Amino acid sequence: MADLLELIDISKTFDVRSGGRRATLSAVDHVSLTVRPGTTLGIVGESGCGKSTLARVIVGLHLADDGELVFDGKQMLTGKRRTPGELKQMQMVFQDPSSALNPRATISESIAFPLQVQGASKSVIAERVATVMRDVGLPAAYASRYPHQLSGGQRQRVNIARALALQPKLVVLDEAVSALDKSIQAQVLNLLSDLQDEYGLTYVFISHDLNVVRYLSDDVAVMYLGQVVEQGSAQQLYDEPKHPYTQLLLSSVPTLDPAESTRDEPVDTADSTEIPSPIDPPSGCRFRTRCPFATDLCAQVVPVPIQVGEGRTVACHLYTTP
Amino acid sequence: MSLTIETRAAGTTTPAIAPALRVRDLVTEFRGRYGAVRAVDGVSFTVPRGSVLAVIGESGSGKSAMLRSIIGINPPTTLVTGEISVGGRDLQTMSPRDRRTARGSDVSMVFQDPLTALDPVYTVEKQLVEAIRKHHEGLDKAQARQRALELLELVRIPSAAARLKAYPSELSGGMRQRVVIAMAIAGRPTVLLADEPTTALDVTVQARMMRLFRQIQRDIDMGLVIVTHDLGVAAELADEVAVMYAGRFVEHGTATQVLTRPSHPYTEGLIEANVRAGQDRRPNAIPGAPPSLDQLPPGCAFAPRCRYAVSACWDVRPITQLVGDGHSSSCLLAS
Ligand SMILES: Nc1ncnc2c1ncn2[C@@H]1O[C@H](COP(=O)(O)OP(=O)(O)OP(=O)(O)O)[C@@H](O)[C@H]1O
Ligand SMILES: Nc1ncnc2c1ncn2[C@@H]1O[C@H](COP(=O)(O)OP(=O)(O)OP(=O)(O)O)[C@@H](O)[C@H]1O
Ligand SMILES: [Mg+2]
Ligand SMILES: [Mg+2]
Repeated sequence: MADLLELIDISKTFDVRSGGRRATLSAVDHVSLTVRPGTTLGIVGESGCGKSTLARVIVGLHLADDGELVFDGKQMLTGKRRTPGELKQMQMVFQDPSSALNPRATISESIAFPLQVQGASKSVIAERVATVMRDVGLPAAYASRYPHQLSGGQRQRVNIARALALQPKLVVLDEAVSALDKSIQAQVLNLLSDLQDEYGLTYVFISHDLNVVRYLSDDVAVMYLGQVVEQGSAQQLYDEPKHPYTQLLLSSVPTLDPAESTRDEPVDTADSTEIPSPIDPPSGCRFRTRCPFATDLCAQVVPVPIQVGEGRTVACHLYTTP
Repeated sequence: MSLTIETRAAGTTTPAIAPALRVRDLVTEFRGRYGAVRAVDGVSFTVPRGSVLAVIGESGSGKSAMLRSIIGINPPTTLVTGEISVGGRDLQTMSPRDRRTARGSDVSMVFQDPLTALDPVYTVEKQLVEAIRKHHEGLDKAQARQRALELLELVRIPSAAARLKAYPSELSGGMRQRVVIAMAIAGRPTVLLADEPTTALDVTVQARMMRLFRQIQRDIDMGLVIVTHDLGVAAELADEVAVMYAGRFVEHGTATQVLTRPSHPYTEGLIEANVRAGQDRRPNAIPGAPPSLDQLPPGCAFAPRCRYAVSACWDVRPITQLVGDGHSSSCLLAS
């Protein structure tokens, strides 16, 4: 089947000030990805590696510097504003539960807002609001409350309800379940799977919880400093991570057993080694400054993604040099 | 680890070394148009210096309300009663002015939502410098700026010097969260209250932040109360774990006791709801939803959702009983 979403060579930079001078921050760098309809693409990677920026480019909230996007067979320029019709088909749930809600609107008003913009009738709106509130597990009594009267997790459920209200084809979930407690998270994960089965929804799912990403995703892309360093099916990638960064990431997942705690390992607070930054990314492979296998080649040549199996790519010289 | 045991033992024998935080019978009631909502309903605990208490529990169980009551930030119509002592000084009996000072310097809080904790119209530097100078009045601007830079480096923000000039919206979610952590530790508080401080952090940064918390704690003998949904974080960081449900602690013990030998069915449910590494089956959510706090059932608040509930559970509010050394549970069936 044709892909629902195809990202081709997307780049996004920001102008920032660095030490009084203007500088360019490379937030997303030559990213290409595909998402098949009715499946979930998980995106993982370190804080600041560009996941939210990429998400915003996908749904049209950021204009990219470069690159193309093909959605449902239609080409969209990522550097141009979208039409309301195009925007409607892709919805996003944001990372910060409260900043996304209008403090002066009731919960039902917030959920109804996108429906109103699309011109739905009063009765349709009322019914849809009630349905999605039930779907995400919000008691009907909360409809008339204001965001400050809800807990953090309750607020995030409002955001998910609002994104689902328009029945979009693609939902980009940026840390959408991170603020939820594990029981509600389990409910929302199950809800997301059910909605996917029922309506054939497609998800781009960004999360720091690597276990949850594996559970929910068909495919996973790993980002590091703005670039996709590895992608493949969730199972293959987790079972046999190839990129040294993916290996590092997967080995850092905490377990539920206090006996395995590493909390008393010292942190080197005087450690002044340069932390790689997208303002001045390392030459060659961006991960090389932290890579145990780095060679001279890694500093000189940018590794291009190469195919290492069915639907599986990795951008690392360990796999390019024979 | 040994340090924690030492201070705890010392704390119990010599009152001179008062615990970082002692809370007795804390009640928080929000009064408003919908009547009164009792978000915290009689919570007691002690956090020794250098020790970590993790509080887990579902959304809406009152965890943030509890922390906000301790630091004293609540809407004006909120009623807070009970004892809150920081470093041995009872905040509730102080004059409002002394209380404000004590809270400003001895208690600090990392708020749940990193974006709302930062002011969008000021740069990171301005906000950090302000936080630093509030606690260290002797510092001039340049020194405070230098300290701000050090703090950003401590929490491993890349290009720290450049980021000082950034506005919060120019930072990623995890960076904002680290800025907020940096602000909270700037004043070297006696107690740090951290509300979900790692939700926006990836696992590698999270691991570093947890070790950093431990290190700062050791350096300044700080007590830490961390609210988290992430049982991995609790397992990694906490000495003790408390489980909150409908405004009460329903289970409390060492991290090992609570996380590996849970006594309360609610704790068991929270643990089972986690998605484990490589899990294929659907995660088990606890059936139903937490009760509305203004309509608590007469018996155990968890009974309607509990797979073990017997008829007595619906009628009798369970008392808290010891089920092991320092391990308590509020379940009628626990023993
Ligand atoms: N509006 C902006 N102006 C300037 N820089 C920005 C802006 N938005 C993001 N950035 C920068 O772009 C980089 C990527 O940020 P992004 O928010 O995409 O990261 P992320 O992967 O979502 O991180 P996290 O996991 O912490 O949310 C960061 O260095 C961030 O500071
Ligand atoms: N200002 C307020 N007025 C009325 N009710 C409130 C107010 N603030 C919080 N509540 C209610 O008090 C209860 C406890 O809220 P709290 O924010 O402490 O939950 P929480 O345990 O921190 O949840 P989460 O994990 O989602 O952050 C919730 O039912 C919430 O709706
Ligand atoms: Mg983000
Ligand atoms: Mg909270």
